[in-house]
Amino acid sequence: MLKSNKLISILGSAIAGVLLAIMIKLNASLGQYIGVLESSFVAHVVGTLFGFILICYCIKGEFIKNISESPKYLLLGGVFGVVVVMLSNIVVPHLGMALTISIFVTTTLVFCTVADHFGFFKLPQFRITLRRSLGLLLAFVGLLLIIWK
Amino acid sequence: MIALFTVIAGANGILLGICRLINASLGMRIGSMRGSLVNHFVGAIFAGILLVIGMGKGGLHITGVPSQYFLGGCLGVFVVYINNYAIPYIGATLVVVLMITFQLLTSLVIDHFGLFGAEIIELNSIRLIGIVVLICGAILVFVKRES
Repeated sequence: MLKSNKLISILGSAIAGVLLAIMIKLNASLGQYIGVLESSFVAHVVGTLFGFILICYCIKGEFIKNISESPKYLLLGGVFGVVVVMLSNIVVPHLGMALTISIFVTTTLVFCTVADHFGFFKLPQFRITLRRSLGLLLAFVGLLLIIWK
Repeated sequence: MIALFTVIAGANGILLGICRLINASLGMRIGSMRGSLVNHFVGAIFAGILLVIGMGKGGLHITGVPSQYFLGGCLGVFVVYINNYAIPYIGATLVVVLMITFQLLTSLVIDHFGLFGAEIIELNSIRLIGIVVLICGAILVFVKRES
C-alpha cells in the first residue's frame, strides 16, 4: 500500500500542475502589460509577501539558524527560476513554442531521472527501472502529439 | 543559430531541474513552505538587480493592469511548496511527469474555453490521443513493483 505522505505527494503534484498552468498564463498576461523580467520580478515579490503572510506566525529564530546551516548553493533556486523564465523568452521567438517545450521537457526529464538515480543534492535516491524509462518515453510521445499541430 | 538556441533551450531544461532539486533539498532542511518563501525572496532580489542594471524595459508601470494578473506569484508559492514536499517522497522524475501531465490537461481546458483571456483553440482528436498516451506514460512511471 502507498504510504499517506506518498499519496499526498502524488495528489499534490497533480494539483501543482494545474496551478502551474494557471500561473504561467497569469504571468504571461502580466508580462504583456509590463515586460517579462518585470513580470517575473512582480511575481516573486507578490510570492514573497504571500508566503510570508502564510507562515509569519510560526517563523522563529531557528529559521535563520537552519538557513545558515544549509549549504549556501541551496539558496540559489530563486535565481535559477528567474533565469529559466528569461532564457525561455529569448528562445521561443527563434524555435517556436512547440520545439522549445519539447527540448526543454526532454532535458528536464533526463536530468531529473539521472539526479533521482544518483541522489543529487543530497536528496533520496530513486533508481531507474525499465518500466519507468518506458513510461517516460510514452509520456514524451503524448506530449509531442499534444503540442505539435 | 538554430543550433545555439536549441542548446540554450536544452540547458534551460536542466536549469529548471536543478532549480527544483536544490529547492527540495533546502525544503528538507528548513521546511517546505519556508523553502518556497526563500525561493521567492531570492528570486525577487535577483530579478530586482537585473532590472536595476537595465535589463528590463526601463521602469515598472503596473497601473492599469487587471489585478487578477498579479495573483501568479501566490500560485507560485504553492507550486514550489508542493514541489519541495513531494520530491523527497516520490522523486523529482515522478513529480515532474505528474506536473507536466496536469499542466497540459489544464492548458488544453484553458485553450478550449479561452479562459483568462486566451484565444480559443479547440480540442482535436490528435491532442486527445496525445493526452491518453501521456497519461498512460505517467501511470507507467508512477506504478512500480513494491520493493
